[in-house]
Amino acid sequence: MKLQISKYCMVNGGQILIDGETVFLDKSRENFKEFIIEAYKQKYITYPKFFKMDNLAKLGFVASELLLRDVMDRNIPKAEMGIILANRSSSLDTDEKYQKTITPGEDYFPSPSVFVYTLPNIAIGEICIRNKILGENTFFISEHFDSDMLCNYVIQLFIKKAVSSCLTGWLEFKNDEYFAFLMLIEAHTESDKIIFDADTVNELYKRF
Amino acid sequence: MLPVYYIAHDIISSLGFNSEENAQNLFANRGGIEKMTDSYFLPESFCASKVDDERLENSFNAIKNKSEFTRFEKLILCSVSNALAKTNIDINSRETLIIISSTKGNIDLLEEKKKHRFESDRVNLWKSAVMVQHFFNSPNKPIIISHACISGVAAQIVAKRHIESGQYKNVVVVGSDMVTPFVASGFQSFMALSPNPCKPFDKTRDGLSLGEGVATIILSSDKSKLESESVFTLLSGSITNDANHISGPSRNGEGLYLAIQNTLKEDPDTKIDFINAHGTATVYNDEMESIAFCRSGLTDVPVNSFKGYIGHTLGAAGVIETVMSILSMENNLLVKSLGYDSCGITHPLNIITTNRHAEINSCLKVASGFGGCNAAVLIQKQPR
Repeated sequence: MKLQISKYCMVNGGQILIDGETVFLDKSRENFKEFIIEAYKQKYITYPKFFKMDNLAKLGFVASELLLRDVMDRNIPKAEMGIILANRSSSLDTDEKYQKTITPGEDYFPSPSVFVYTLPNIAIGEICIRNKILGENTFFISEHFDSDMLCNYVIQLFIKKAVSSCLTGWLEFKNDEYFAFLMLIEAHTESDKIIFDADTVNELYKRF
Repeated sequence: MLPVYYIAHDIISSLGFNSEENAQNLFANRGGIEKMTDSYFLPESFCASKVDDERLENSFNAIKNKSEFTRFEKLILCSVSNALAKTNIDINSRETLIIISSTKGNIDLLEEKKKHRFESDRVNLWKSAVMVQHFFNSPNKPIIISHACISGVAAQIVAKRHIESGQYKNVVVVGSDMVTPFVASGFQSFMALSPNPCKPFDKTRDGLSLGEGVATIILSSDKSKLESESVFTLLSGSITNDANHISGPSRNGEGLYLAIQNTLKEDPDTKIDFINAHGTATVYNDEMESIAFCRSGLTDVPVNSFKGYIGHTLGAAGVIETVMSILSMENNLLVKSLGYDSCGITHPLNIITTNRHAEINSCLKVASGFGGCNAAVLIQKQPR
């Protein structure tokens, strides 16, 4: 089965790229939070729930907005669209924040709005809610980006007709270090699009 | 298409340290949920189902090597070893993959008192996976799924696809999670914990009970590895999203309904003999499930939840409850849904109120979780 990378988005080190082209650059921000809010504003995203999200979900959200902009008007069947993501640190960045709220003593105050983000798949859930995506969704954890495993799995989803389009890639956030590499995968219909396979994906990942 | 068979299984929970002991207690309708008053977990008392520490240490001592392992890892190593002992499947083969399902893994290592017992990256799920891989001397890097409370059902679906694609012949699926201050305080902050043992689908249900444990399922395309009298096949499965709310289930059960429809799509005439629900005993989850089952035309099918016995075991739940469902099918026993008295859902279901024998040849197992995720699998039993 021939699949294409219809579009891909990378977010890392104060920079956002779409299909390899820089679409937003701001290295002046002190931390991720300032950077991602600036990107949100300058890219005309309007979604008030964004401000409630944790950093991992904010990263995935902005990447998915820029990736799926224009695309979602194409009438992609939402029940056949999947989101398959992976990362190294799961939700540990928020887990550590939450753990601080339950240190025994006077400051003990567990917060449900922090706790809910102590699962990595919440980032997928946020993208699903925004775009009404109802299909296959799975969050994998691996020490390093594993293009073989991820690509083979996504290809298998297409073969089994579990999806007809799929958002996939790497979504990592820990201690203000971030790396998002999200791709929209569809059946290969446009000759100018890159073919989706593990080697190509690995090359794109490394090039950045 | 390659069929995928359930070859062997194991459970370690408050009900016992192997599948047989769990079955014995389950079939006798003995629950393992107890009142927890240790302020280590929560300032107030709550209910949970715990794995006995002393028995875990004893089991682990029988298999240990010279490495140090965390409690979470010991649970996995004990259960996988138990399951492997029941088959001749070679864990050292390139054809055998390990899939680990967990929501929080070694999360207790974030606690001030435990922080320094292990290296700092040990809190990562991938690090536990490395430890498990080395312990069993597996040539393949384990796959880890961390997808909230559907992880254990999702892991079986991911395993099936890895067998169907021809990449692996055997997959060892292991699901594990623990009761920790982290999860207890979190669910308490959501006011999702019942002060009493949980009562799935009941009128007076007022929240879930937490649980911990581990279960292992060995799946294979090779039927000759089977040792049981019946053949259990993982026929189909699906994972969906509600796209509705990150912490609340959908009002119309859309995601679960879709997961069930996708699961039954290959053979719409499949007669389902038994449903094992997610049934957490929170007001919203059970209501949502009843709507999804009703929309799927499944209101007459006998249904239970095992959460009344072992609580909500999070990333282990899908694996533990699938094994319990297989044990029920093996014994043709519809097991009482513990904690249920009278109907507390707007779309009444055929809840199993007392144990009864019936021919069970097919089972639908479902799960739902935070992030709007849902999953379903269909299991079939045939004579060997």
